[in-house]
Amino acid sequence: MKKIALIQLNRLGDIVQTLTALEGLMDNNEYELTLITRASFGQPLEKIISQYVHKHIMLDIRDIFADSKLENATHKLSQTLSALNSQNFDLSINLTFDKTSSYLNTLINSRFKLGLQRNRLNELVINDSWSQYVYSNIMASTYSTYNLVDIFKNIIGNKANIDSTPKELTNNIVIHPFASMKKKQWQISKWVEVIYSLLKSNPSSKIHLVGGSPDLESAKLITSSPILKQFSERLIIQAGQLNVTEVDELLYNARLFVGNDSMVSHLAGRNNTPSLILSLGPVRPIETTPYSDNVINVSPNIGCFPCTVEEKCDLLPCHNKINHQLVSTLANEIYKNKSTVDINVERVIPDLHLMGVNVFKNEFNSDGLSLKSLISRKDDYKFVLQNLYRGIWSFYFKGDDSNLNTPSISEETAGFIGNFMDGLNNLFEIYNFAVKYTNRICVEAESQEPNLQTINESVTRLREIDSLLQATKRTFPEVSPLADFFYVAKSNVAGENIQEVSKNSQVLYYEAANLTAALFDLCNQIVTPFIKDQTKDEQHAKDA
Amino acid sequence: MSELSTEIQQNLADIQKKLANNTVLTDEDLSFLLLTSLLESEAQ
Repeated sequence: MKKIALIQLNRLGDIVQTLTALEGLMDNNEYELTLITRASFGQPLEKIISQYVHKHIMLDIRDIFADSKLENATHKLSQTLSALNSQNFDLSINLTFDKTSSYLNTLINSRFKLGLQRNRLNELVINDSWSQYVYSNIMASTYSTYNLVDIFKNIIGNKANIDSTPKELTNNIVIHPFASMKKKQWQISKWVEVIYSLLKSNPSSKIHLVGGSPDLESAKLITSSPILKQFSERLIIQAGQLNVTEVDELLYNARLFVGNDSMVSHLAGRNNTPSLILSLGPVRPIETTPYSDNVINVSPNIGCFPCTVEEKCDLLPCHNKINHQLVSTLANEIYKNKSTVDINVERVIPDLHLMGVNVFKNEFNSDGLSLKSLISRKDDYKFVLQNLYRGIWSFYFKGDDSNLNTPSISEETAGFIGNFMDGLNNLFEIYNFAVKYTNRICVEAESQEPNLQTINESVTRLREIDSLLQATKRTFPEVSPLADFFYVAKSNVAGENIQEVSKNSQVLYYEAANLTAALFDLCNQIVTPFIKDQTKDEQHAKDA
Repeated sequence: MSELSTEIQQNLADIQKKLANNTVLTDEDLSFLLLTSLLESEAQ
């Protein structure tokens, strides 16, 4: 039995997403799974965690630093590490992508390691392609292409599908109107309107407001609203009353879940609860929408969305794009249908309410969870780019070309893509130069009497290439996902000597050039009809 | 806590010196870096 350590030191929502990615692995008797979490996040989820892994080890940081003495803290941490290493892991997989977890992964005596780790010079090392992708693309770019659960599944190598057997549903509606930060949380006054609409339209329904103890005051603010007084018997505050396991049980056969993107939305996803999710502020819908195809996701259609956690924003314009009529109508439709399937958004919602939003339905395809727009409008530039990148990454990582689709775009988007193609063209030329100079090093290093000066000259050229890549990224930021990925991959290229490193770098640059060319060709297919139309228009103008 | 902070700063300085001299880190050094990183993240 192979022993696998999984490191997830992030918050509750990330732990639930990690568990979802482990679906089915416990049934496979080939693996013994150990999950490592921080006690403050792992403790509340302990019962759910035990359904997915054989062992759960928690780092209790408060206990480690209990008496503020370094000697004692060092001793306690050393005991925890000894306990971990007594397991003799075959493989450790770091799914956290931060500094702390990189040290922990290094200190676990496992035969193989995936994800962030350190070498003995304290440099970051990432050996596997999927983790390189996360580090280069997810941490920095706004062009997210995959759901985090799919990324975790790809890193782990789990291909199991999610069980979505239909269940007998109650008339319970679970609402989580809170979030870990203001930028993610829709206004309380709008939630009041949605709750009013649901209770009024569905007389047999009961609404449970869930959240943590800090949310209790906000929950009371909602229930004390004068328009909700008449429904007090059917509106129950559970915030601070139910623990995580109890919320999970409530969601199991709830008829509807409505909420902001949060840990609770991931619990709803794990239970396949029919859900309506609002993605606001820094939330990237494809990345964190619950991992279930029983979900409708609403997000603002505004240039600044998604922002970053660090960006300051007092006015929250993206929140105002989503109005309560839209959310109420969608929530009522899902409740009525007991599912998110067959909801015709354009039939039930007036155009006016759809103008500032994107409404997506989660669906599974060959490379995991994807978002399908429920509004028939031309795809915007960001969405087009996101899907183009997804197509080429699936092709690169898995050889799956079934997602290389041609989207329907507007003339304006065609203009943006034309500019993006200029960036790709630059990138392609730079990578071809890199292939040339790495080849020169390979040839020289393999010769009978290698000329050190020739090698050094080529190394200097490769450094210049790195600077050119940075300059191209500054001019064409949309090429960053490609440029960043291959930069991280090149920094971690395998090899014990100059020959091996150069050969492997050459292969990588060659792949980079090919992938850039493939993306360029795809874009060309998309914009060609517009170039033809433009030529026709010019001809008509001339004839006239 | 200030005593702890001084000790941490001293150990970190020693590790920085090692790295500046291209000396490889021991398990003990890496374990100390893990400890300080845990402390930092908990403070956030």
